Amino acid sequence: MAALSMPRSPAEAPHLGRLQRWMQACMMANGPVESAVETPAAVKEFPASQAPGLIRASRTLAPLERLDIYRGMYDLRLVEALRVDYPGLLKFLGEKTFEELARLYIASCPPESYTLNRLGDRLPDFLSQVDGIHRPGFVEALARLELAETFVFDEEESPVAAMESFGGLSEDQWGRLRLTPIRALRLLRLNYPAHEFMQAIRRDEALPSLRPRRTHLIVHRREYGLFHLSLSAPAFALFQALAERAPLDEAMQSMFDAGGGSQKQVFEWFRQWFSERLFSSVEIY
Amino acid sequence: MANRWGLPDLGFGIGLRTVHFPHILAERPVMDWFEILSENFMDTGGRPAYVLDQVVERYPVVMHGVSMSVGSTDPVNFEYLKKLKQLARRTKARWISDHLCWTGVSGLNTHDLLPMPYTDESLRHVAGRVKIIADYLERPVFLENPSTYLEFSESTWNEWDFLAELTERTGCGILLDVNNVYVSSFNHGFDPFDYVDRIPVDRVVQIHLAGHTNKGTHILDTHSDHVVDDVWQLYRRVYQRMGGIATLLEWDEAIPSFDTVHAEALKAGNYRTAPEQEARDGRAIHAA
Repeated sequence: MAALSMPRSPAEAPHLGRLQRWMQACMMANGPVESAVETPAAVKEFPASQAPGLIRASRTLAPLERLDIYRGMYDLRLVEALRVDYPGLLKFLGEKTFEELARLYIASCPPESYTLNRLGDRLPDFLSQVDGIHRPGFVEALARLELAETFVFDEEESPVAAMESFGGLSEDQWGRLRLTPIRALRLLRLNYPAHEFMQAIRRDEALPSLRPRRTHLIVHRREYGLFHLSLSAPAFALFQALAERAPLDEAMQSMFDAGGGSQKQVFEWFRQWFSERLFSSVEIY
Repeated sequence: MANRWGLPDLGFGIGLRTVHFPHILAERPVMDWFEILSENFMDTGGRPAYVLDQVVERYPVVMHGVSMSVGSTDPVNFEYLKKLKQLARRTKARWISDHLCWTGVSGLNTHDLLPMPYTDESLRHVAGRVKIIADYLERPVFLENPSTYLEFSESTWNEWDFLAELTERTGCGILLDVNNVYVSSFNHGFDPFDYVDRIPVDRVVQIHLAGHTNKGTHILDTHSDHVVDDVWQLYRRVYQRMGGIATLLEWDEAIPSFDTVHAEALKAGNYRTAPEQEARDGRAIHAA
């Protein structure tokens, strides 16, 4: 006899499923409600001619007007969630363009997760599909930065390692050091210094120039505040290699390959990175 | 009258909202309890989690979610339930609630509390899911009556009887949102007192109160203002039937200061003691 187990799903509800797929299709369709009920996804469940009959009229509203209330709220809620996650894009593009972009994005990438926090995860990649965006290179860099900030904001706390934890090591031990970054940290290579734009709008300062500049950035969290740390290409290569679990001697090779660095500079960078509390553990491999 | 689970009347609480974090941490206000929106804390280890841990140390916490989607015809989302269960352990949640609704289908999520058709098919379906979810969570599920803006033509049950029957079939409980009763009664043209009079009293573990926005043709459940007097009168009726039940004030748009929100919650105390106004004066609420 097979082992007993609880059912993982209740019995099928075929008609209920049709009705739900129909209503959702109508909610997610662009355009007026009259055309929403005619979209292929809606018509697949119920012909447009039957749509008004699925919903009771109220004493003040016709059936499709009642459906339209849900359509309006869907749009408002999701656009608002993107405004919260992308305040820099909103500032740069302006209300009207941002909302147009948000609606295009939502139509193309409707929400799948139970949390709105991750609604905008695909927005930076989506931008490449949109025509007519002013300064598309900068916009993409800004979007990638803002997405990284949302991840850093929500990451788990990590213990913080002190630089003193590897004092007195031999040269051989130094080469075999492995440093693990804190979890609330992301590394970004951008073609524009988008962080300078973000800092300016947060401080309500004059906006910086939007000229392209290769930018190597650490986005990190300390005491629940978000910070940006701009690095040289060699320093970034070193940090990235360390973050990928390379021991220090290999990480330094990556640094040299990136065109620079010295032992003295590595020591100075370590002093800064440890004071910024960017590492959670130090091991000797 | 006590609920059948013996869960306590926690007094008058408010929803824990980000804008109030600094005040709560700095002032440690005297407060009966907080309700958290489960999804706001399920996937974060940052400042929200830190504040939550501080709150849990000092106040009773109840969890209220919006993504359980008990009415959906998609498979039950056990990954979501796993995180919900973990959060309940972390917060020592007195109970967990969500809504009698569905939020999405075909792998998508509308992030809205969508209405069910109240049919026998829906009842069987939701009952089956509630049992599975309660079994997984190892605790009873409490469902809130949602505000709704449309009714399906095929419904053969009214909402309050559907909800009462669901509690019978599954052993689930009810979070009675008095404002939602009022909003839906306006939108659908029923008597809100009939609704609250038909709810099984021993199944109700919590009350929600909130403000709303009257658009003329319909009311939206916006949680954006003070509780209107008609809703307070309904609350008084609920108290007369059911006695003291943990009561929570929701305010989610244009959120005022902590003290203003807390004071609004404490107003509920006036309606637990004041004499009843004209019998069933709520009948006049939607007479037009």
